[in-house]
Order: sequence, then structure tokens, then C-alpha cells
Amino acid sequence: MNAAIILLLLAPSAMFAQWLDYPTAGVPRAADGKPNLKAPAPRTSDGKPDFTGTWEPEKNKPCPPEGCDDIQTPWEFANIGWSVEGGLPFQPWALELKKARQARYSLDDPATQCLPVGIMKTHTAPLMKKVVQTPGLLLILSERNAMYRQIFTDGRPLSVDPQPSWNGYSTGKWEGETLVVQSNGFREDGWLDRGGTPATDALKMTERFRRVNFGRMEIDVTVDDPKAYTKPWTVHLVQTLALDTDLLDYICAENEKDRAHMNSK
Amino acid sequence: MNISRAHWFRTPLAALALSLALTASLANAQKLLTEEGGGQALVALQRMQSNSTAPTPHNADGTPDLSGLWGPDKNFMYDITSALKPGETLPLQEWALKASKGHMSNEDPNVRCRPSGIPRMTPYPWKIVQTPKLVVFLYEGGPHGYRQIFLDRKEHSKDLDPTYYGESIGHWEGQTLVVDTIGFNDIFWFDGAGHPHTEKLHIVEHIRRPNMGHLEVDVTIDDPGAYTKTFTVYGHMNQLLNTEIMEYICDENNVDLPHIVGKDSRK
Repeated sequence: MNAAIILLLLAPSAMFAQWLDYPTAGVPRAADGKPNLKAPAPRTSDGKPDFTGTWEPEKNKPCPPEGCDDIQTPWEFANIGWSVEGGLPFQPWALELKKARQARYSLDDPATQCLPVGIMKTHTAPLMKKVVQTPGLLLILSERNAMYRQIFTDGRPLSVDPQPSWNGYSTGKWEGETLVVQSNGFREDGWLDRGGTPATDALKMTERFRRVNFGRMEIDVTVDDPKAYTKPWTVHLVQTLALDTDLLDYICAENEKDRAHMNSK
Repeated sequence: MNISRAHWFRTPLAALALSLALTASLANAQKLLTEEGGGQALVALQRMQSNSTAPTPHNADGTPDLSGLWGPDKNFMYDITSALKPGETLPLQEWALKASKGHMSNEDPNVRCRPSGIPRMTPYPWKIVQTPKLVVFLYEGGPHGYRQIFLDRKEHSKDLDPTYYGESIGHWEGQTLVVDTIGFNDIFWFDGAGHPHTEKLHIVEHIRRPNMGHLEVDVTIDDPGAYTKTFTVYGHMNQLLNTEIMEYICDENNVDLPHIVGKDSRK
């Protein structure tokens, strides 16, 4: 995957502008005044771990050479299955589809058309997200297109016959310290990464959110999509807390000049 | 497929119909509310409206709870002149008056799926999620975006990057949430009629929930770059019941844009 193309298609127009730098409230400090990101996770008034915060994916590529880019993407951004032993259990047609998508340099990625990227890519994209936790509803706000995702934690069941959507329908419940979120209602033409790993409308996704400590959130995502894969598979995604900053406007379709230059050669 | 309300008006067809209304007079726009087009979106929402006068819900700290699913105010869609106090006019500067008359529907940023800014609304539900330090508005329409209102700070940032929703800081004055916003870009229009503004725009909203089913939003607009004085437009919204935000991705299959042609009916 051509890194230059990734950068071209990702570069927000506001990349070099001023970052909002209002200090984050309630950050636990070490004796020397520095933020203590390993302090325990905060809790809500009803005793649950509080996921509220501004998060970005952990930079897991070593620098040098992989992780020294301007915009660091985690391995999972280009290839969600990079950590899965033996590779992803593709159905044969799904593997062929992924190869075809890569052969066209991911031109057909909905992200290239400024369309929504879906749950998995929102976790792995090098853009910030804000989690807002309330008793019956968890929100994930994403910088990209000022998009949001609702996760209902009010006990409602999954939809029985949902209308296909980019972000699906999510309902979550607590299992001890872990928020277990189930989602269904996805479209049939999903991309789980920049490299074109497919997902279909048969997808049932399970995310297990844990705030391990103040500065670290781990999300185990299980993909159960029998149309595209021969068995379910799980990836372990890590998010790190971003301090003293906030979400910026990134409106993908604004001043969009690249599409006219792209061809599949 | 089990869809709780008519799906077709989720399509850009509604945006097209809305846009056709934009160069029409206000009287024509009112007619559209009962005709095919963006007006049907509002009619459908009206069926789900609550008119409840039950008491305002409150949080443990005594502040009103504004959380809930809300409908739009049509006076914040077509022409904000209709949201002024009766008898008042928009105090446009000369250049701004000319610009608004020149604005054509096919240039409308909303038709290109840009965020609506403040106070403009789209004919779709929106949700308020209120926490003690942060209030979030979620919009079904526009680019299906959000707006943040920070309750934990007293001053604006310096040197803000111009954005569609600016930087909003809010505080409670009794039962009213007072929201102060600066840092706007000059791209969005105040309404379908094309009333412009500049980056000098400074908006103060007074938001009240007088009872369970109603929201009142007074929007005071201060833009010395486009208007000769400060003015206020008044919004009234109803809670929506037994429904939820649907995923509406304006950029998807937006086939109407090339079809917005025709003469300016105002000429």
C-alpha cells in the first residue's frame, strides 16, 4: 500500500493550523507534576469505569522505520488482521475481493468518496475520537466528518430487522469492568481497513471495552461474519488518551481535489 | 423492512425539494409544507411531536435536563426573517443584502452536505446529550455531525481555526443555558434564503426547557461584518417520541445537485 496515497487521502485541511490546547481537567499527577497516565481509571457516580475522554490509536509501529511518518497509523489501519496468527480465515471469494480492492489502490474505499468509514476504521484511523459516557448512552464522536456513533447502554435488545447502515446498531452491557457491545445491521459492502478487508451484512460485531488505566483503553473486537469468513476472529486494539487537546473539524468533502487525479493504474 | 417512519425523505430528494423552496418566497415555502418534498419530512416529524406540559426534568444538581430527541424549527430552515419578532427586519449591511439575493440554491453549502452551522436546521431530528461538563448536539441531517458545548471553561481559546460550529462555552443562569460561540467560518448560510455572515460572527444562545415537551432557543446574532446591529431570532422545538436518529449520509448518492437548475423565481 502506497504510503503517499494514504497520506494524500488522509491529510485534513486543518493539519497545520492551531491545535486547541485547553488543559484537560482531572488528570492525576505524579509527584513531579507530570500526568500519571498509569493511575487507575476514573469511575462514574454509579461505580462503573468511565471511558469519557479524547482518544487516539496507540502508535504501535516502531520508529524507525515504520513509525516515523507525519501521520502515524497503527498496523491495523492498513491491515486489520496483521496480528491474527495464520492470517484471517477468509472465505475464498472474500480473499479475492480483498485482492481486487488492493489492485485498484483502494480507490473504491468509501473513505475515498468521503463516505463513512464504519466502526473498525474509526477505531484504527489516526484521527481523534471523544467518548462521552452517560448512564443510558455512550457516544463516540469522531473528527472525521464530525461523525458520531451511539451505543445504547439502557438495556435495549439488538434490533431484529435493522435497516443496513454504515455504523450498525449497538447495544452495550457491563460484565464486571468490561463494557460488552454487540452490533448488527451493517451494510453488505464493508471495508474493515484501508487494504479492503471485507465485511458483509451478516456481520455481528462484539467489542469489549476496558479502560485499563487512566491513559489506556483496550478494545477487543470480534468479527463474526459467516458470509466472508469461515470462523469468527478477534483483534486487540489499543487507544491512548490525548491530553490538553480536542477534536478539530475535518470535513472530508471540503476542498476535495484528489479524486480527479486518481486512476486505477 | 421495519422502518418507523417514511424512509424516502431521507434521500437527497428531500434536499432537492428543500432547495427548490429556497429561491421561492416564504409564502411558497409554507405551501411546500403540505406538498411533496422536504415539507413532508416536517409533516412526518410533526406526527411524532410531543406537546407535553409535564414539568421540566431536572438533574441532581438542580439544572434542567435538556437531554432528549428534538424536532427542528422550520423558521430556522427556510428564512430566519420568520424567526424575528413580528415587525422586525434583518439588519443586513448593503453587501450582505446583495449577497443573499445573489445566492442560488445550487450554491447552498447544505446541498453539498456541509454542516449547517448555527442557527440553521435541517428537517430531521436532533438529539441533546447533556453531561455536567459537556453538552453534545447530535444531528441526523447535514453531514450527520455533532456540536460540542463546553460547560467547564470560562474563556474562549485564542486564535481559533474557523469552523462550522465554532467554539461554544456555556454556563447556567438559573434555568437557562447560556451558550457563547465564536470561531465560525463564513461558509454556511443562516438559512435557505442565503443570508450570509462573516468570521466576526459571535452568537449567544439562551436555551430553556419550560416543560417536558418544549425547547426554546433564543439566538442572538452579533456580526459587525455583515449586519448593522445585533439581532435575535427565536426558535421553538418539540420533543420527538418513540423514534430515534436514523443514519442519513447526505454525501451518499447525492444525485440531485446537477438537477438544481432553473430561473431565480425572485427576479
